[in-house]
Amino acid sequence: MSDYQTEKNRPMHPPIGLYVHVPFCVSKCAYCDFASYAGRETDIPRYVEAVVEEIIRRGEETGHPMADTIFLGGGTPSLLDQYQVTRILNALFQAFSVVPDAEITCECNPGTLTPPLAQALRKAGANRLSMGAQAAQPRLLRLLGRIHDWPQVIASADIARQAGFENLNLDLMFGLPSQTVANWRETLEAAIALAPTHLACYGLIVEEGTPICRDISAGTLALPDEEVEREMYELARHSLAEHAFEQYEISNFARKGYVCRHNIGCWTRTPYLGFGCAAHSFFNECRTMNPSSLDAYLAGEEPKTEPISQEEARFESLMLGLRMTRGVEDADFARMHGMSIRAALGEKLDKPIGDGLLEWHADALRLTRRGMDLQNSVLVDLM
Amino acid sequence: MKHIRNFCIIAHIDHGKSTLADRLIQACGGVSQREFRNQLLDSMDIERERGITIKSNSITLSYRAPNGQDYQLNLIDTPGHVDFSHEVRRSLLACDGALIVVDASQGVEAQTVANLYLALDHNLELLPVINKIDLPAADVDRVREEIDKDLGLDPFAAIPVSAKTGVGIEDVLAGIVEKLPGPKGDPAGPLKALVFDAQFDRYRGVILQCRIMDGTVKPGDAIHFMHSGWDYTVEEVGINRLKFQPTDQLSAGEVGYIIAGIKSVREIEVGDTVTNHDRPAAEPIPGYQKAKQVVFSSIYPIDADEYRELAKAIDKLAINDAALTYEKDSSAALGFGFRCGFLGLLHLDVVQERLQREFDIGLVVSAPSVKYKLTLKDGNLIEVDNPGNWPDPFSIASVMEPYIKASILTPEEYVGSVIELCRDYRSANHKLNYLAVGRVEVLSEMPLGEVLFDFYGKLKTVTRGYGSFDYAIIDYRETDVVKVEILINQEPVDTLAYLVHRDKARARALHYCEQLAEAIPRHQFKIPIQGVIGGKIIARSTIQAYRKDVTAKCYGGDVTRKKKLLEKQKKGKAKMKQVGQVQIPQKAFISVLSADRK
Repeated sequence: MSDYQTEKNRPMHPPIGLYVHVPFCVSKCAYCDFASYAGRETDIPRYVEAVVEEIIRRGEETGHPMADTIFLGGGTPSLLDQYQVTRILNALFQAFSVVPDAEITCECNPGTLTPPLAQALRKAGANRLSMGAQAAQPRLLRLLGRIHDWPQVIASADIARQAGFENLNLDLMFGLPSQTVANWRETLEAAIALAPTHLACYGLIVEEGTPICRDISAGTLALPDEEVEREMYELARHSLAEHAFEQYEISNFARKGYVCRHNIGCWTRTPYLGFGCAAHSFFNECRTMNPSSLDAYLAGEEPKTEPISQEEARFESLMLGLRMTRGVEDADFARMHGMSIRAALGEKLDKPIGDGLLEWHADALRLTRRGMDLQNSVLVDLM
Repeated sequence: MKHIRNFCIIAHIDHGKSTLADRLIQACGGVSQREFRNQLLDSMDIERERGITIKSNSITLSYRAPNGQDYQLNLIDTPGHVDFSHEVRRSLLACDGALIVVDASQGVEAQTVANLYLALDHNLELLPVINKIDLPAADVDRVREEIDKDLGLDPFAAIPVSAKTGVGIEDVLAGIVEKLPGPKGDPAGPLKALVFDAQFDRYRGVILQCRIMDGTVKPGDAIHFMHSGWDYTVEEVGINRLKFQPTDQLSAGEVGYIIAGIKSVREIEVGDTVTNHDRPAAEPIPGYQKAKQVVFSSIYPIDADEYRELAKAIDKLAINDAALTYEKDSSAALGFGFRCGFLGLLHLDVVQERLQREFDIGLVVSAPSVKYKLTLKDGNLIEVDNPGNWPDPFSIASVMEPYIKASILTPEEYVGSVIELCRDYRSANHKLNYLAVGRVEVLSEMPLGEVLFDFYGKLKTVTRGYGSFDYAIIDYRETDVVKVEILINQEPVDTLAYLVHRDKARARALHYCEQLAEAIPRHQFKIPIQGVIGGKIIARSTIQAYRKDVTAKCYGGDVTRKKKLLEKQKKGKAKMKQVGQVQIPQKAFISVLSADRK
């Protein structure tokens, strides 16, 4: 077979997503169980070199595929200086065919975003900033172990805008110990006042082994009732809708045209490559996880790869796709798996549909409003 | 025979019986320093941990008295708990005398009195011992007074000792030889041996513990069990040192062991009389009583797949526990298990704990029940100890339940609370005996079925730990018992049904409903939990539908983790018992059924 024929017969790959994990933080948040390290800033230069090396190598191994989203997440990517972020973004551009209108996001923490960094990010191609604002009350921020305050959120938003970022996300949290519905309303209003294009409202998940989990087990902190927590969620849905934020996923809301394409890629099983410690990749129907500890990653430990069976793949499509309000199109599902949703799940659909948690809407399977509250139960029924 | 003393030690729990035994054994050189461990005669872990004696045990000690004579002292250890009073009786039959141990600070307690009566019934000579005189709270004079007033024994004969420090031990040994009588019996007569205990040894089969009343027994003899009718050939006889020590023969007055190729303790009855097959005794030793099961409960493995292991474990345990009865049982919610009969609540606890500990099986134990005697309208008489076998209420003419006579010793200031407590437990009447200054014996007749539900724990609470309790079953009396069923989401759950006096039905049903509402996780729908008597709801609680079961975030691309969490959730669901639409975790059964006995 000639090179020409190979080139011609190669199927059109949809563009992939790229993710870089930056596992450094000024201090560790009380609820966080991600790979992140406080007090290891001296390792940042070594780490950046290792990540750049990994990007270049993976680019070659995968044949420099097209990419249309990039996400620098953490940890706290804004702890890197302008040279370091530029170096990483340049490496990505060099190793992959990044499309011209790619969505390029960088997470940052209020208080760590400086004007030079914001300008460098912008110059290196970033066009979206995501800021962990979390709550408008100093008391709740302290309880979460955050090091910023709300005025710093405002200042960081200004810095971002002045550097030319118009696409701005704020992460907010509800269902926090001692948080009242009034607190949450205040946070939502403060966030809306900053006119972001995108808002993510996360209900607190208490992860084992985190300080907040210990405090809750010890009884020094108490979570709000489930009823109150759902009231907060409902409040977010309503007040954000009033301000023209459309809910497109369980926790995500966007102004028209500003949904996060990187995340949607993940929920639709678009392949992505992750770089850095604890980063995950989904490529060639395999899921790969880089070493989760910083030291293991720096020592060059091999990632772990697991192939996905066809049955697992079908389940993943629902597990991820049903997070989105639009649900899973039967046609998309059939294109990916070679069979319709009904053929794949059969009677398993009956119970959640009968319980009013799942519904067909045109040709898409989606969660009902109540199903959104009980997604895990629905998925367990579908397993 | 005049150089033999067969005796036991009678004491309330914790008054230092085992420590005193240890000290006597050491003083007679029965054990080297290397072999010594505390509570020598308590061989089971549970006995050591709880400080109780469950199995009888005996040891032969060699003692040289101050007068230069050598004596053989046979110490027969007896269980200290009411559940095992039939074992106590058998052990007493083997003795000629007893040490009555009284704690120098606690004084005489209910069990001391109960066992004293037992000992007097058996015509034993008694020697009081005041133990723990080393304690700061020891009050030897007051205890002497109690020995006089409560026990009716000579207070000045009492020997003060500290089993802990060893003070007074020599006096006790001298007292045993001087004050307690030697055995009587006819060594030339036909063999008459009392089996007062039996234990199972993996290699040697059943080892019988015997007191030879008359005659002799030696290897090769054909022996005959007078109650069970079985015959065996003696393989070995001997005496109990710390290890078994074979001898040529055992003869009248002696205490020792017989091995005769017996495969299981269930083949023989403890309390039976062994005689010579070719030259039998005219009649057995009087006083034989079969062990009576009074408490019944079903035992299921937590993991239904472990039924076979449970069956094996119960078989094994029963080889050495002739008092345990069991038969196969099944529950819609919990699968296969066993309906078991016990001598009392402690016996139930011990069996349950041994199954869990020695065989590593997680168990669910249903609410204990007594045996009811029913007269049906068609004139038939039936006995029911299992709620599952309770007949249609319309077919019942009358129901009788077992009553006990409880003897409670308490300091005077708590008498009011004790009487109130007894009334709470449906006591029929009470009688007060004023004993030594400030101490009262409350005699009360109440249903055994009530006492099963933490009477002892509550007694300890209302008397601040000073109250003590003993009981004997007296008779059956007419009662008004109903079967309460528990419905979860309208479905009856068989394991949770119970039999109870009508007056107590509602309170316990409420307790069940509340416990279940706490232990069963929320579902997508509201779940009513109801206590029902024959279709009529007497108690109710509700588990609200859950509002939220969703993960806010998808862990930054870590899809594998999310999948694993869901798999775990699915597995947890699979492990629960499905009753109708409701998933009930095992811990719900455990928390309800165990809370119930607390």
